[in-house]
Amino acid sequence: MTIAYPLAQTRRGFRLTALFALPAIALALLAATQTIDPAILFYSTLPRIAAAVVSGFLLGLGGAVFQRTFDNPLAEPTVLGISGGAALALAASLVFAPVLWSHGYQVVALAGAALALATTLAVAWGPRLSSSTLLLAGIMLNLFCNAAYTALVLFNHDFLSNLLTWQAGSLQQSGWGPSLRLMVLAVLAIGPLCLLEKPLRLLSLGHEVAANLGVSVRTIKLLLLVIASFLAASVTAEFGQIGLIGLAAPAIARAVWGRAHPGLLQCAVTGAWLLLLTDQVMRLLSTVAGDLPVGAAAGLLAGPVLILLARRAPASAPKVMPIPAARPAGDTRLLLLLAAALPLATFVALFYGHGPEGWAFAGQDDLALIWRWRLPPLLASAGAGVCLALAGLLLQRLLRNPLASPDLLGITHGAGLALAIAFVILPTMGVATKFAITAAGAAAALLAVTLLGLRSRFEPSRMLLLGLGLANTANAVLVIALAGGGQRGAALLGWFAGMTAGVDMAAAVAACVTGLFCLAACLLMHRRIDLIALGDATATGFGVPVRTSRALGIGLAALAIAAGTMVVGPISFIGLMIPHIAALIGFRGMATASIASALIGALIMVLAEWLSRNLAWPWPLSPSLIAALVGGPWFLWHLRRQAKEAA
Amino acid sequence: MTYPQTSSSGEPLFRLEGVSYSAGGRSILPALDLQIGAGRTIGLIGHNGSGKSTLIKLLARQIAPSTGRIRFSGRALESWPSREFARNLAYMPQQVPVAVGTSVHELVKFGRYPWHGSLGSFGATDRMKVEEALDLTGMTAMAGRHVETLSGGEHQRAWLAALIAQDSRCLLLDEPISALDIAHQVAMLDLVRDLTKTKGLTTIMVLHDVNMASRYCDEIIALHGGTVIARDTAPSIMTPETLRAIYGMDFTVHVQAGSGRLAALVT
Repeated sequence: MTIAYPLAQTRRGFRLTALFALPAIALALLAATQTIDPAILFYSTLPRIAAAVVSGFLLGLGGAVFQRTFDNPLAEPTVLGISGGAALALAASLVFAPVLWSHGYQVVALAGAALALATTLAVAWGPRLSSSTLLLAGIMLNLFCNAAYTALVLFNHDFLSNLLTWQAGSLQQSGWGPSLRLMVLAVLAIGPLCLLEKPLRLLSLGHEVAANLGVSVRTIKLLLLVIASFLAASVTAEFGQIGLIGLAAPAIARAVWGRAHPGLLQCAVTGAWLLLLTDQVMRLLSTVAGDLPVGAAAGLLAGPVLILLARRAPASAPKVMPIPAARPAGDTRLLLLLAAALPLATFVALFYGHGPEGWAFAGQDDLALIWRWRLPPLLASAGAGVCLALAGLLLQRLLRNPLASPDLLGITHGAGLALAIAFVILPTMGVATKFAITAAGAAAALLAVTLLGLRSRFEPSRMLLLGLGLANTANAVLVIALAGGGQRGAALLGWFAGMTAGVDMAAAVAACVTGLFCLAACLLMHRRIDLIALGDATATGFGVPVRTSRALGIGLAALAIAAGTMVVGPISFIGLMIPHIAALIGFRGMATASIASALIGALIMVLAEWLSRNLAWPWPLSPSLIAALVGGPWFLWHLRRQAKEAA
Repeated sequence: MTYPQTSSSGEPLFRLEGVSYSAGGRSILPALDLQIGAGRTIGLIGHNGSGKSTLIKLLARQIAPSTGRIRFSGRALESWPSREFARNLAYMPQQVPVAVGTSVHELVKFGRYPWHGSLGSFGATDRMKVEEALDLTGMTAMAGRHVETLSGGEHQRAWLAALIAQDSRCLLLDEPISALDIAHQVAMLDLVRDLTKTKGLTTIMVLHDVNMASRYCDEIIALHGGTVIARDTAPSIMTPETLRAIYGMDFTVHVQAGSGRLAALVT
């Protein structure tokens, strides 16, 4: 961490910021001057500019605080459950208690966000307020809330389709209200955050050093996180989910200002011009391409920037990924237990289910039915569970980031994008064509990741940025397609929600085979991966070819993700959480963790598939949603137990 | 197993030609020409920032030189395949990473990776080497403990055990005794010297204590501002004039009664 900040760097930072802010300001001025009607100018154009600037400012500020507090480039202001909580509150209140909207939807969204934040803090509460527990709890809560939200939207589609626009984020204004509110908030927030900036810097020195220097770590962390979350929640409540700015602004600020930890104000200013630029570009494009939501569009602009930054990113400081200690002697027994549970669960799922007469065991005459209708989705779910769990494990160990997940590399989004494009060309598609197209999309994304990753030599911090850029670019296009609505939107939503109905045997077998292949490869490479987790320098010292191993591992993960996504759609929960579940119950070394993750992934998906088929019979639910809905609370409870034990 | 003093062609173990290293606009090592022979214990001394760690990292292939070539055992350093190189050279950095959740035994087992690789089985030889390494460093009793629960000194000894298990013929140690108390410093350096002598290893150590360096090293290389200002046996280095040139401080050199060892004390 450089202590002397050369003047040249600061000047360069100012120059670059001016350079980038100029087009944004120019476009804004253009917009202002082009508007003839003074009413529109005053009530729409100018508020929109103000909204973009202040929202970007707040999001950049929040993103900087979060990334520095957690020392993780994947941390963004909504990571503690804010976005999920707000979305769920809005959807639930619309469906069950519309009267709550009489005071404005912003209040409801804020309340949902507050509740989510409180839950996350409750799970991680203790004398230390551990960062890793906070992050895991927040992400799990987000996944849970998003799953519940998607379920509500799926079943009340016409009712809630407006929410999809909110979800994509929109800065269109019809008055100064929201912008003024946020501006007041910004002014109020700058003071406390500037006061907290010094303790924030000390936090990055580590818990012991900071405490030794007199920083009350828990209080400071709490204050910082609550303030930053409140800022992000306010923006989300007013304008929807404008996700990428909080993540991209600090990354761009790092590149522009040439420091590992640019100041809070610098990140805020970066966020301001980034969002202004994005919104104005979208406004221009809307004359040609119709109304485009800014939240997703931010991905279109910031995504490629992140990819570019990935090549220039400085190599991250060596960081060993903390893995909880292994259980004393319970490993093999637990593995055997899991291995025995899987066929049992499969058997139950196959033969016990809801039929026209209610819950019953299938009889002999139903065997053909089972083979044709129940087995393929079950097999597909199990295979996808194995694939995605192992992919998540590989990414987390190789990139040494506990937040890495399959959708990080953009492969799931690539598959979805291919599907979206295909829907435009062929509105009605057979199942086989759909699978072929998702596979092709995943393969194309895989190729992009590999080629781009080669150029950045597969170094962890660069891969993270690269993956984020790719994922968000693809996601942006996808969300735009979804918000376009109509039949296309509904069909895409189905794939996004992860419906497995209609999977055929060939695809299911392909997923299973890929999963087993991935497991075998993980076991063959387990020693290398264990050493890589210690740090690149150490691993190289012991003779591990780090770069090739990492490239192989990521390629393997990408293949597994493609296979899994092809059959069950994009599920974040499995790939992100299963490796943590395996670590929570005590599997540490790569060998045992791989087997455990594969087994747990398959088990959860089999159970989820069984539940999704039978819970609301004859309407099929989505296994991925069920997995998040059922697995979420269990995971949070287990995290809480571990946090209490560690305290 | 003892290794020959030099390779059959008489090549020195390390040959550096025109090697320089600069980072962040600063030149840490201007062009360096150096040859290091095999089978000896060599101490690297110098003031802070003189380039000792950089030199060792260059030799260990942890960083690449900005200019120049390095040859290890007659072959270009970059041309060595990873595992073969690790079987021949072991490196301990200045700050060893704390591998949270790993036990001492597992850490030392990691040292056998260059031998059994990804797919090979962990055989009897590997087990024997690991036990031997734990025994020599006195870590057998702590084998089951997790690395993050060890004291700084115990941690350094655990890593040294891993390096011994690596069974290479060249050891590069960057300040290996910085966290050890005097008794353990002597014990560790005694161990390193014994291993070097019995197995014919080459050991290059960065040491801050010039007395320890003179006690244990056959040859001392002194760096100053990135250049080698002195390279000789210990008695020749341990003179007030040379020490002043190296450290910029005045020393008096005393002879220990009985053993005849030289000791330098700051005036």
